Amino acid sequence: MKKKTKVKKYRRIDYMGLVYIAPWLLGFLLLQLYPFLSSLFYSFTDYQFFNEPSFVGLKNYIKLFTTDPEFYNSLKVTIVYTLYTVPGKLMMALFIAVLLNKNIKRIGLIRTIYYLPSLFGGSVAVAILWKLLFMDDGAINNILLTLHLPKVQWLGNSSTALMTICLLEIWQFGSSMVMFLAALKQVPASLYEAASLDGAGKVKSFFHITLPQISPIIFFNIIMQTITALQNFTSSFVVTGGGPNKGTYVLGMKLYTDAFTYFKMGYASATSWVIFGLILVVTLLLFRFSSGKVYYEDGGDF
Amino acid sequence: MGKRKKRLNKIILYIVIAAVGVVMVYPVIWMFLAAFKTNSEIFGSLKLLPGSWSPDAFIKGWQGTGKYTFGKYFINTFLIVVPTTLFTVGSCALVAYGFARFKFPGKKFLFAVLIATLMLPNTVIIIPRYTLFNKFGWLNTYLPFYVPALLACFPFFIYMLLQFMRGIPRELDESAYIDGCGTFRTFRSILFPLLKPAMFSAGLFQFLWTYNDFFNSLIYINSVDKYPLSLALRTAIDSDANVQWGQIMAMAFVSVLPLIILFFVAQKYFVEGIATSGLKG
Amino acid sequence: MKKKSVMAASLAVMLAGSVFMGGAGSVAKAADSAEDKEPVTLRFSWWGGDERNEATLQVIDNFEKEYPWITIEPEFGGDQGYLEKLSTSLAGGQAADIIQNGPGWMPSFMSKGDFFIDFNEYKDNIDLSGFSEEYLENTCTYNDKLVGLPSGIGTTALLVNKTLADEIGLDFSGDVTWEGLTEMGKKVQEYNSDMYLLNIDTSFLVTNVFRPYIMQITGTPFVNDETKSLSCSEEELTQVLSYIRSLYDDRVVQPAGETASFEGAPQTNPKWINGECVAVMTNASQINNLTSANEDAEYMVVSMPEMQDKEAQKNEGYYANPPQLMCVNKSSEHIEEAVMFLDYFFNNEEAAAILKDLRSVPPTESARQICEEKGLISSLVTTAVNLGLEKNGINEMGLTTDSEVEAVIKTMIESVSFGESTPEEACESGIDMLENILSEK
Repeated sequence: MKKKTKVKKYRRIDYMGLVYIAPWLLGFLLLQLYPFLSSLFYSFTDYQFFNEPSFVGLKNYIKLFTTDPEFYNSLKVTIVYTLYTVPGKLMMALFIAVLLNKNIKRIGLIRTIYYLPSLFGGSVAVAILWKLLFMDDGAINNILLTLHLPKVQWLGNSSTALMTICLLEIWQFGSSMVMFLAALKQVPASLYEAASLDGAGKVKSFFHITLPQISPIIFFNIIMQTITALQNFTSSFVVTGGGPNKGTYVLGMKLYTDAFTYFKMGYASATSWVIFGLILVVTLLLFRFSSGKVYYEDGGDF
Repeated sequence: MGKRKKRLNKIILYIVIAAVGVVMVYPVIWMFLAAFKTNSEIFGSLKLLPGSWSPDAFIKGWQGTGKYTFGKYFINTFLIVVPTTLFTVGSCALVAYGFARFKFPGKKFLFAVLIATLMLPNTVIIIPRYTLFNKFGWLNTYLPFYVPALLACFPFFIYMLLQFMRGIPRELDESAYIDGCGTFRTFRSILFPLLKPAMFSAGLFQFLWTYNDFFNSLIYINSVDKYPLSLALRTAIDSDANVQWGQIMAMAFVSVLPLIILFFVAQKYFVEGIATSGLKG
Repeated sequence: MKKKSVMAASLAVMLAGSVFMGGAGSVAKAADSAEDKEPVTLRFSWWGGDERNEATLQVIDNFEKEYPWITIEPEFGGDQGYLEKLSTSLAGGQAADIIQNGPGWMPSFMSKGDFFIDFNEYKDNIDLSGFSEEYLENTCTYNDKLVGLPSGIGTTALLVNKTLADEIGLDFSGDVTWEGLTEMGKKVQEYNSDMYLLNIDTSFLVTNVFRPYIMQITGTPFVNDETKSLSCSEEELTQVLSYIRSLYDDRVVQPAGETASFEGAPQTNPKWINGECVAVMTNASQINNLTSANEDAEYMVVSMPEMQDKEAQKNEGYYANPPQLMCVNKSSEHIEEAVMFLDYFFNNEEAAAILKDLRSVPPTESARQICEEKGLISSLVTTAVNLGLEKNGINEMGLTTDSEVEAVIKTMIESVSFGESTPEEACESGIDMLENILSEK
């Protein structure tokens, strides 16, 4: 047994800790809490950036929900975008992770190739590439033509353009895949052996062992991806410019245009709070839905 | 019998993996090859390979129009990304240390706040931050990137490093503490070396995210001599003139090349970083 | 461990590489200024294509040689996103000293603040005698202040790919009318269903079809700046939208789905480049860009379309307007030097010869003469401007060209061009949106 050494413990209460977290505390107050509260304040004002904000009560919100037809369109587009990309990306990631969780040669190389697209994130370079690939006479349509399939107007009508942007997001499933792969490695082999002794097939053990075992990580990914998806901006902005016919005009783009083209900062702040509310509701629903379905090994107390 | 079926399964598996792999890399390869193509080859031609392998597009694209070359934009990008990354990792490590090893009043509450900010969507704070930085006179400088990094405004990395630090036995640093080291020296001489891999992972991600970031550059940077790559590329496709897509693809490829190299060199850290930070969440 | 050092080394190499390669530009700057002058640095921002950029840089170089204590830092890019950058930088007090500005944006800037100098106060530094006074008064003067100088004389015209038009047998010799466009469009489709008469997208439909059409039937700009209300009736608005819808139904114009991916840049439309579109409605300053996109074809310029029934037409709907304005930032620390540069830019002979028609036909008498003598202006541009100068439309810069109003017009056009709503529906929801926006102005 280890000999018990007399070490001087960190003091029971040590204000030095506060010194170490001071940068964060300052950053939090100045760059997170203050902006957070003032954007709430701005959302109740008429603030055109060139003037001082003047209080207008609920006017911005009323306008958003009653007279701005763009808002409902953007809300719809954002929700559709989220509903396509989050499940699409995660199912793809899980599918590949399960495939790769076997004894495969050159797993390192394969993993690298699969992760590669995720490196580029929301970079402009890739957004431009996407635009070019999916143009009417672009590479993708040329491939379809060779396969004797009909051309698709990828960027030319509102619903396909949205799909095209979703594909860009789904293409970047790498980091979820790596997380799933790591989680899969942690599932004890004994569980599968026991199941196979009980005569459970592969499909059955996937649903009864694999999924529950990695459910915390799936849940984590759903939450994080949803939050990101609801705030999407770059791909709409660079690939389609929000068009055609506002078909990819996500809330993030509406926010940008209102704030930085029309300088309606108060109105845009109201939009940002709607996005925030949306994220809050979705997260709470996900938590509610997941309780009892997600399996935690430890309480994770601190 | 079983063996043959197993083999067949394996072959199918490899075929699926290879097919998906091709889909994954095809766009990137296409981007590289498009750099050698003329506009008419890019549109309406089926061939993947270009007609000729002249590096003109790279040279002309690099030169840009007139005064600034892409070299300038590369420097700018690194001027934003490198300090931001270093500041983030440094400040987040210290904050994580504060949370991991000290007990002080209000810690539970502050930690809960930290976790809550993990979920705070960026969109909701963009506008006030912008007006704040405007009041400070920081628009069109790189301070909007540096200051949040210095002030550890990236709860994700704090959390990631904190989790890692919780895995380091307390005895290690406490035994140093007994020798009368101050807390900072304890951190520097004992924890810092152990934290390196985690800090490296955090740094890689911050590097990647800042490198790819478009929105912040778009709103904070105005003048061309301060443009990072993302804005320069965006400007290139907006040009009034006849867009030479070959040149743009050449520069797009060059701009992602550092990421690809970085990834191949530091693959292990990427994968570990994602795996651990994700799992602990 | 080893991996890490490799990592560090490669980072260092990347950094060093980029420093090395990028360094070339800045080394050349030997900033030895004239003895008795304080060195001055000015920033000049503009948008443009390659040719315009290169010429402008050349002029800057020459200017710096003549005034060695003044350095001019160029800031240029594409036109899209320029307005956002300009607004944010003006608001943040970070804007360049010399600013190329869009005439349509001026009214909104003028209502938000006092950002630009009045050139009348700096007559010692710049010679304005070359400009037509009337033109300055009509296009650059707000509240009796001359806040900008016209970069050129711009008008819209119809640029025709003559080679293709002759091949199909289209006759552009007479007056072009809106109704005539439809007939010609059908002919093009009969000739080859992959070809279209007009290379136009939804954002150019706003400026080149919607607004002139409205002005022709009402005789006034779309929005009345005094009353902040629409100057046309619902029926008139529906009429324009129906016409635009018919352009799509009759396939006179390329389907909106196809033009969406190169919106705002008709010169990049593959159909135009490959000679499969007959004509394009364009500002004179863009003619060179459009013709160089396909150099195999021969071009001609004709007048923009008008109503067939001249009686029903209140005015001709088109007017000459500067493609850009050159402004000087009021908060600049070196206003005099900035004005001096513009003096050089507009009045220097060499500069005129370099800038040619890259911002349309030059605005000053002397520059026009120099360019004409040396044959520097393409005859297409001259024709376009001359045709445009004869038109008696009213300058509509104001709320009509406000970016929010423009966005609504575009939304209406898109919803009819994608066939998602009828002209009546689009008109109704458009009027709602416009009334909302105008009530806040």
